[in-house]
Amino acid sequence: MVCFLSSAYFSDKVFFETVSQSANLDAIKMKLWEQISGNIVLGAYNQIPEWQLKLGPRDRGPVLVILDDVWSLSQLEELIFKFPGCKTLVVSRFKFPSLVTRTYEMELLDEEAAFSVFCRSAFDQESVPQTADKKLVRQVVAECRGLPLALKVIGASLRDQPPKIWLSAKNRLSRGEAISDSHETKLLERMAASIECLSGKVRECFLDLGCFPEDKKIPLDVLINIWMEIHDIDEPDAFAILVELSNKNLLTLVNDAQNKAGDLYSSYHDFSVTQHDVLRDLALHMSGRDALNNRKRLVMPRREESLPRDWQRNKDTPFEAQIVSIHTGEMKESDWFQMSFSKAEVLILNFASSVYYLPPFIATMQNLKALVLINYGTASATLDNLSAFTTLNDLRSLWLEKITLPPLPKTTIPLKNLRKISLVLCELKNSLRGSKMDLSMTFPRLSNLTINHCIDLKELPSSICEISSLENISISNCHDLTELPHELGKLHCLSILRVYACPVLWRLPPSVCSLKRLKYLDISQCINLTDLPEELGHLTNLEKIDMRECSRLRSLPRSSSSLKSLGHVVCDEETALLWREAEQVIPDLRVQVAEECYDLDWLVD
Amino acid sequence: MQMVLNHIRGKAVVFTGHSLGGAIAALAALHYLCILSSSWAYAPAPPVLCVTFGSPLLGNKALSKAILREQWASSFCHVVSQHDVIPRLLFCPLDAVPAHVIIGMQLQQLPMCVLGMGRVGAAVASRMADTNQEALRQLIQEHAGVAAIEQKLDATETRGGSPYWPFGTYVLCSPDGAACVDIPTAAVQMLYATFAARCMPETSTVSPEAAHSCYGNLVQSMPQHLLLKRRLGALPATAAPAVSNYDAGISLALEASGITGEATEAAPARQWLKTSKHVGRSPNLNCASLSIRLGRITPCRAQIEWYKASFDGDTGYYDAFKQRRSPKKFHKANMYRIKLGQFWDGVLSMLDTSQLPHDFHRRAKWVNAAHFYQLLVEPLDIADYHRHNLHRTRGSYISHGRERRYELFDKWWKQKGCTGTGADSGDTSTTAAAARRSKFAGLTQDPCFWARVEEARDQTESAKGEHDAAVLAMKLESLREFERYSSELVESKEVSVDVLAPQSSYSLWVEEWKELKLRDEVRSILFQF
Repeated sequence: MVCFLSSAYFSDKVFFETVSQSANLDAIKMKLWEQISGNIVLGAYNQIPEWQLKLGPRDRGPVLVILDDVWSLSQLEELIFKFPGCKTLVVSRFKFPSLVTRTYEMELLDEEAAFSVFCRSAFDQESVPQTADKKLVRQVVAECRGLPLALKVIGASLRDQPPKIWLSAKNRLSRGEAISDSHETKLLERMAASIECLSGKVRECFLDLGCFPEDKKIPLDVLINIWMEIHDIDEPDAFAILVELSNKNLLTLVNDAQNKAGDLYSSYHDFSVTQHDVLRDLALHMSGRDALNNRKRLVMPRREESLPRDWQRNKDTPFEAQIVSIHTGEMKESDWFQMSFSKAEVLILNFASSVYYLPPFIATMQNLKALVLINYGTASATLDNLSAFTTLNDLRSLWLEKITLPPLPKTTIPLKNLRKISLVLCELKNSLRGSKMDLSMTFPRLSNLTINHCIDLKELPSSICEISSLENISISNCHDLTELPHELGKLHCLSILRVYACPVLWRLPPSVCSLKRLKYLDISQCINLTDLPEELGHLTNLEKIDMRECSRLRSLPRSSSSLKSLGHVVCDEETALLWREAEQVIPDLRVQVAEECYDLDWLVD
Repeated sequence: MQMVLNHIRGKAVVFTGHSLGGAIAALAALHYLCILSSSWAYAPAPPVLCVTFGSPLLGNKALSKAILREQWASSFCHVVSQHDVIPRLLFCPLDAVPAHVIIGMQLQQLPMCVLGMGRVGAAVASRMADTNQEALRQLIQEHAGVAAIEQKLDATETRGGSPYWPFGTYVLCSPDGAACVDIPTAAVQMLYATFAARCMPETSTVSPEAAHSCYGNLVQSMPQHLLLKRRLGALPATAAPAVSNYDAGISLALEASGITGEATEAAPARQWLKTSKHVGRSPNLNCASLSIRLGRITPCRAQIEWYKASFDGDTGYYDAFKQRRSPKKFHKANMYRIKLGQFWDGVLSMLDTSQLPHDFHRRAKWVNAAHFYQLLVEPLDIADYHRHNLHRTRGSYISHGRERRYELFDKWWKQKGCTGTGADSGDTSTTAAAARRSKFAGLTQDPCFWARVEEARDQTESAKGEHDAAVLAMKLESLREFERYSSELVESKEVSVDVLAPQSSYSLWVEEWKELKLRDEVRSILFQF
C-alpha cells in the first residue's frame, strides 16, 4: 500500500531491498545506487566519487528507498543515501532513534483478523468448528497478541489436539507474558511453547536447523544425513521428523517435498527446506543457553569476515560441541586459529568466495562423521589445505557444493569409512576423467555416490566401476553426460541407479543388465534415450522403474516381460502403452501415468 | 517448353505421357510446381495433376522425400500394368541391363507415335523379346526383389543396387482392375510382388511390348470395373465369413492388382497394401491429437519465458544461457528447450510423411505457435551453437547451423503475413506504419538477431587487429551495415528488452563498436596529416 500511495509522488523511483541479518552490504549498496542512478557501476562501490553520491542522480526526482528486515545500526548507516530528494523507509524489529527521525509502530492484527488467521491454520476454515471449545480458542488467540506468525505457528501446533493440550498450551502461553517488552523475546517464549510439546529427538532436530545460514535453502539431503549421523536414527525416521516439523509450521518444505520425496526410492536431491528467521532465532536462542565451550552446537549465527571473538577468547579450552557451523567469506590460512573439537561430529562450512583454505583444526576432529562445504558464491571455489583430509579416519559422508574438485593425487591415504560422497554444482575438471588411480583403494567402503548439476561431466571414469561396495549411484542434471562406463555391470552390490535429467545421454551400457541386485532404475527425463538394453529382463530383482519423459523411447526390449519382481513403473501416457504387454505377464505390475507439473521454484536461486 | 509454361501459368494443368514421355511429363510437372511455389506462394496454388503410363522410375530417394516434404506427392499418379518391364527396369543397376534392351525400349516408343513405323519397331522388339524375354524378366524380377528385400532390412544405402526410387501414387493395373499405393516403400514392394506373381499360365505369355503398350485398353476397361459389382472369387475356403469390410477391401485390392490368393507373394503384398491404405488415423485425427500435445508442451514455453524475464535486467537470457549462468536455472531451461525442439521435429516428421492435413502449414494456430516458439527459443539454440564454438568449426549459424524447422517456420510465417494483410503491397506498408510499437516487443522479431550480433562481435574483434587497409574498410562497411540494421530494429522497438540489457552481447558490441569507430576516425585524421 505504501508503494501504491507513494507511486503517485515518486513516480517509478521506488526501490525495494531486503537486507536481513548477514547481508552483503556492498552488493546492496551497489545495486541500489545502480538502480537510483540508472547507470552501471564498473568496479567497486567505493570508487564512485563522493560528489556523485552527494548530488544524486542527474534527473532530480524524488526517490524512495525501502529497506526491509534491517538488523543493526551499522548496516543502516551504510545504506542511507543522503542526496537531496531521497527518502528512506526502514522496516525493522528495532528502533534506530539516532538515524530515523520518525517511527511508525506496526499494528498487530485486531481481534477478528487474528481469530480468522488462527482458525485458518488450526482448523483450515475461517471460524471455529462445532466440535471445538470456542471459549478456549478465543483465550489462546488472545495470548498470541495478534502476531501473525505466532498465530500461524501456535495454531498449527494445536491442530487436531485434545482439549487438555489446548488448556496446557493456553496456560503456558499466559505464563510467558511477563518476560519482556520486545516482540522478539515475547515471540520466542511463545514459540518455545510450541517446541516444548515436541518429543526429545524432534526438538533436538529442530535445534539443529539453526546451524544453517539464514534465508538460504537447506538441502534436504544434508539435513537428513546430519540427523542420521548425530541422533543415531535411520532414514525413514529422519523423514518422519521432517514431516512432523513441517506440519507444525516449524520449517517449510520447498517443492512439495513431502509427497514427492516420501516415496520409497525417491532421492532428496531436488528438495530443500527453508525456515523463517524467527524460528531460526528461536533455535539459536534455545541452543545458546549453555556456556560457549559446553554448547552442543557451536554456530556462527550470521556471516562474518572472521571467526567470532569469543571463540578466540575461549580457544584454549577444548570445545564440547557436536556440531560446528561456520559462515564466512573468503578464508586464508592466517584467518584461522587453532581450536580443539574432540567431540565434533559434524562440520558445516558455509562461505562465498573462489578460494577457500580448509580450517587447520579439522585435524583435531577425531570423531568427525560428516563434512559439509557449501559455497554461496557465483563461481565455484578451489580448496586449499587438502592435507586436512588425511586425518579424517572416521569421516562417513562428504558434501561438496560449488567447488572445483581438486585432482586426486596418486597416493592418497584411503578414507576408510567414507560411505557417501555428494558433488553438487561442482566443476570436475580433470580430477576424475582419465584418472588411472584405483578409486577402490581410496574409498574402500563407499556406498553412495551422488553427482548433481555438474556441468562439465562428460563421462564417468571407468575406475568408478572398481568400487565394488557401491550400492547407490545418482547422477542427475549433467547436461554434457553422453554415456555411462561399459564396465558398470561390475558393481555387483548396486541396488539403486538413478540417471535422470541427462538430456544428451543416448544409451545405457548393455552391462547394466548384469546388475543382479538392482532394485530401482530411474531414467526419467533422459529425453535423448532411444532404447533400453536388450537383456533388460535379466534384472530379476528390479522392483521399480521411473521413466517419465523419455519421449524418444519408442519400444521396450522384448525381454522386459521377464522382469518378475517389477511392481511399479512410472511413465508417460505414450510409454504406458508399451508396458501393456508386460502388464499381462507380470502379475503385480502397476503402471502409473505421471502427470507433468510445472512450478516456478526453479527461478529462485 | 518454357513458353508453354509461361502461357499456362496460374492455371490448373494435367500433364500426361506414356513410357519415356511419362517421365518427361513428370519432369515438366515438377518444373511447373517449382515455379508455382516460388511465385505463387501467397495464395492457394492452382491444382496440378500428372498422370503417367508405364513410365520408368525418375529419381532417387532424395527426390522422393523432397516431393513428400513439399506435399506434391498427391499430384503424381503413375499407372503401371502388371507385366510391364519398363517401370521396373531401373531397379536393375544400369550396367546389368543389356544394351539391346535399351535400344528396344527406344524403338518401342515409336509405335505409339508413328503408326507406319510401328510394325517395324514392334518386330524388332518382339524379335529381341523372343530371345531375351525370359532372361530379362528374370533379371528384373531378381533386382526388384533385391530392392524390396533391402528395403525390408532397412539398409541405409543400397549397395550396388539401383539408386532409383518411386514417388507419388502408383496405380497397379491388371486385367481384373487396379490397386493404389501411395507410400514409396509400399510401391516398391507392390511393383515387385505384382511382377513376380505370374502363376496363371496365360499371363506368362504376354510379351513385354504388349504389356508395355496395353494401357489404352486398361484405361478403357477401368470404368467397367467400377460398374461391375464384384465379389471375392479367390477367397480361400478356410477364411472365416466374418471378415471385416476393411479386410475384404484389401482382398479386393489384392485381386485387382493381379495377385491371386494362392500366390506366394500374396501375404506380403496384402501386408503392404494395408500399410498403404492408411491403417493409421486420418490426418485430421492426427492433427487433433497433436493439438492436445501442443497444449501439453506449451507450459515449457511459458517456463522459458519466465527464464527470460528473470534475466531481463541483467545480462539478457541469451547471454545467461550462453554462459550457463545460475547452473540450476540453465539446466531447467535447457531441458525445456530440448523438449520443445523434439516436439516440433516430431510435428515436421509427421508433416513430411503426409500424416497431417495438407493445409496444416497455413492454419493460423500452428503457424502462430511455431512462430512464437521460434522467436523465443531460437536465440537459445544460437547461444548453444556459439557456446560450443560450432561457428568456428562448422561455419556461421545462419548458413550452416540453423535447424530445418526454423527455416520452415520462417517460410510459414512469411506466407501467413502476406495472405493476412491482402495482396496489395501498398496497403501492407501503410498498416505496418500505422501499427508502430509504443513499447518494446515481447520477443525480438528477428529470430536470427543474436547470430548477427555474434557475427558482428567477431568481425569487430578481427577488425581491431586488422592491418590491411582494404580488408579493414570492407569489415567496417559490413559493420556499419549491421549498425544500420540493428539500430533500426531498436528504434522501431522490434527487439525485446533483453537485447538492451546492460550486460548483453548487443550492449557490449555497441561499446566495442563505438571504440572502434573512434579509433578509425582518429586514424583517418592522422592519415590526413
